[in-house]
Amino acid sequence: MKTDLELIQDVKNGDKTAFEKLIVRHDRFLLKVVVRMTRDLNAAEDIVQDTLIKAFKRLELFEGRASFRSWLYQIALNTTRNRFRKTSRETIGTENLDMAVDGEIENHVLTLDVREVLQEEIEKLPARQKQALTLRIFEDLSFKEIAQMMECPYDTAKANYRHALLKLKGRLEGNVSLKTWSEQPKFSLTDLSFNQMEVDG
Amino acid sequence: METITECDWWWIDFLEDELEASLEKDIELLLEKSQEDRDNFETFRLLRKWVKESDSVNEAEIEAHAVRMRAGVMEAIAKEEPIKVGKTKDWKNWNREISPAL
Repeated sequence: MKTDLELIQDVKNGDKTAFEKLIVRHDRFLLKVVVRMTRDLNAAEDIVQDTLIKAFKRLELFEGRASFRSWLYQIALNTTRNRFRKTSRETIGTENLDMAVDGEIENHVLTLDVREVLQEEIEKLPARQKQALTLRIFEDLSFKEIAQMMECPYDTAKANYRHALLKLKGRLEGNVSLKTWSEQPKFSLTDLSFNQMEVDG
Repeated sequence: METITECDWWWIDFLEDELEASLEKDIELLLEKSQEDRDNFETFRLLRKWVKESDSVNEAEIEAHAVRMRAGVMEAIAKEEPIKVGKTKDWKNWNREISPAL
C-alpha cells in the first residue's frame, strides 16, 4: 500500500485518482473533528469538502514536513473558523471559551443526562484544551500527533490535555446532582435518562 | 479554576501510558498503600471512560456523509487544471493566505 507521500507525489504527477485514495484515508477523521465543532453534520460535510478541494489546489505546497493528516486538519480548522465567522459569531466557539460556571448551570444540569452534561462541559473548555482532549480521547491520537495538529510542542499538547481532564473533574465534582463516581454514573433526577443512553448507545 | 496537584498529573499520565519510568514504582506503592489514591486514580479512569462514551459522533452517519462528500470533491477537482509542480512559494504561510483569520 502506498504511503500518503507516495500518493501525493502521484497526484503531483497528474494522477487525480490518487487524491481519492488520500481522501478515503482522512475524510472520516476530518468529518468527526469538524462535526464536533459545528454540531451539524451537513455543515461539517460542506466544510470538509471545501477543505479537501483547497488541499488539492494547494497540494504543490505540501512538502511533508508534518503529516498530511495534520496539514488537512489545520486547513479544516481554519475553514471552520472562517465559515462561522462569516455566518454567525454565536453559533460556534472555537476560541476563548474559558467560561466561568454560573449559578444557572447547576440547576440546568439536573435535567440532563450524563452524556449531555459531559458534552456541555467539554464545550466550555478553552479551545486548546478541548482540542487536545477530543483528539486524544475520541480519536486516540498520540501526543506527538496531537502536537503536530495543534502546531505546538509535545509538552504543551500534553499539558492542555491534563488541564482539560482536571477541569472536567472539578466541574463534575462540583455538580450537586452527581451522586457517585461509579461505572454507571447516576444523577439525582436522571437515572432513567442515563439508562436510556446506555440502550441508545 | 481547578486545583492541580502533582499527583493528579501522575494519575493522568499513568492512564495515558505517559508516566516517566522513574515514577512507576512510586505510583504502584501509592495504589497499594493508599485508599485515597486508589479512589483518586479510579476517578480519573472513570472520567476518561465517560468522556469517551459521551462522544455524539455516529460512525454510520459519518460514513454516509463521507461517501457523498468524496463524490463531490472528485467532481470538483475533475474540473481543475493539473497541479503545477515546482512552485517555490513560502509553504509555511500558504494556509494563512487562504485562511487569513488564523
